[in-house]
Amino acid sequence: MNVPKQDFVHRFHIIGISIAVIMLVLIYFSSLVTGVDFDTFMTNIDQFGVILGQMKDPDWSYLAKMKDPLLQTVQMAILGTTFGTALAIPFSIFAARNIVKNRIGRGIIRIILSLIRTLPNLLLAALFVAIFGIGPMTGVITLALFSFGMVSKLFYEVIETIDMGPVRAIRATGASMAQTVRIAVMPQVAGQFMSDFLYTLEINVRSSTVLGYLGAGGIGLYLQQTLDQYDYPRTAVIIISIFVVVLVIDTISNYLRKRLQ
Amino acid sequence: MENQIVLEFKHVNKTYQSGVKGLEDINFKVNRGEFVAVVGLSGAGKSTMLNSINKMIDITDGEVLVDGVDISKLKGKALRQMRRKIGMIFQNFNLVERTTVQKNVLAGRSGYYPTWKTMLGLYSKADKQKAVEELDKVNMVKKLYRRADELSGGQKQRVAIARTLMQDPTLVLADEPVASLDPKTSKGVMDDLYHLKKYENITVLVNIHSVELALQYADRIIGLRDGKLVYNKPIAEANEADLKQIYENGVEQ
Repeated sequence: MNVPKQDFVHRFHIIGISIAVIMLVLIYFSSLVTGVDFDTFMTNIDQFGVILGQMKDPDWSYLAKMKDPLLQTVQMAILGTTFGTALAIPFSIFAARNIVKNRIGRGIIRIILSLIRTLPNLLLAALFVAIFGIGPMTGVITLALFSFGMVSKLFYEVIETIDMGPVRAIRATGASMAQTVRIAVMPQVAGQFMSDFLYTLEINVRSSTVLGYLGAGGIGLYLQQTLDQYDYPRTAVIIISIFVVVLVIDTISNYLRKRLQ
Repeated sequence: MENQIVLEFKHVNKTYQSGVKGLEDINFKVNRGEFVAVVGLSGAGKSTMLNSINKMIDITDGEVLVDGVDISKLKGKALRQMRRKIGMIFQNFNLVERTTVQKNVLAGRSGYYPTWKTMLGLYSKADKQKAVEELDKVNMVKKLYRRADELSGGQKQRVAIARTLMQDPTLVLADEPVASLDPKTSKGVMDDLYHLKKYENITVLVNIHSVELALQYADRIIGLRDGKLVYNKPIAEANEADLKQIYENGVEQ
């Protein structure tokens, strides 16, 4: 019987083994350069147990004080996401390939959008605390700009997948481009827009909990205070309450997004 | 009003960017209230010709006169006002599927509205009444508040005809309006198009594959082959053998 022979490279998995070796070498050198030391990790791991031990008796009396900052955190997320999304709608239309034929105009808008997306929200918060001062207003502005960058990309990608038939039909009736977008584009994308909005809201509720760390309002401020005072029983209450709020928001959002499909 | 010319092509050429000739020196006239069938193989230029009448496609040179005005030179608002007079029916109906029949029909009127009113979804009472009347002409009033994606193909095409009627058009262009429909539904839609001519004195141009339907409904038949106009005869002079030839000669090449 004439069985075809595999060549050397395939028979001994040369490519796969080479990639694995290269990866290991790269990881080793990265850890040398950045000073990551496995020994330190191992010797300090017991601290984890110590802190967890202190957290095991949460100071539940602190919970009542958490109501307002938690509410503020969620309000910041809702406001920020709403403003950012509202601003993203016109921008995403101008960035969509199938709506705006002018390459240069579209290109400029896309560059602005990707520049905004390169800024992480903690950096934005630090920047806006410097500009607008400490407070929830800064948190809202941070989240608005962050959601704007993210949502406008999600939105123009949705717009680019629509059926162009109705667009041509409405255009042919003598409608202007703005009217055509309203009549033929919006109904096709509204459901997906709503779903993207909720998804962004989920992300923003999570990230707004740490924005307070930088002074941008919400529960993050209390998280910082208790951690600084090594008041772990109170930190535990904050972490648990954040966990519950995020879980509730995610559950509601997931339910709504399923219904939208 | 008799024999008033609604549409005239004068030496119209269309060359695509790829260098492919879409239309080559097309000349013909269409009178008010005529029902014209345009026949020819796929790729013969039927669709290009129809889309140049409302300037959804730009021609390379020549003139397309609609009510005596060369639409190929119009831009912006003047073009949009001209398009209001020209209805268009598509093979895929092109309704906005995720909205109601009523809103789809009212959308046909948007050329008559300022942008801000459309943004807010405002239509006058008179136009809402008109939408009901136009739907009644195609026997679809009962579906007024249904979503367009709940309708069958034939029903969608009827709603599309009502949308076109909202424009108060003098000319209706139909690009393969029955190609996605079964024979019985096709006949219903063709009847509706025929009624536009008969009761509303609207001029109708239909791109159509079916020679049988062309002979049954048209006043005149225009044949295209490889972007050239090869046939243009009133129905009284047209016969099936001629039309078969439009198709068969194309196949030989």
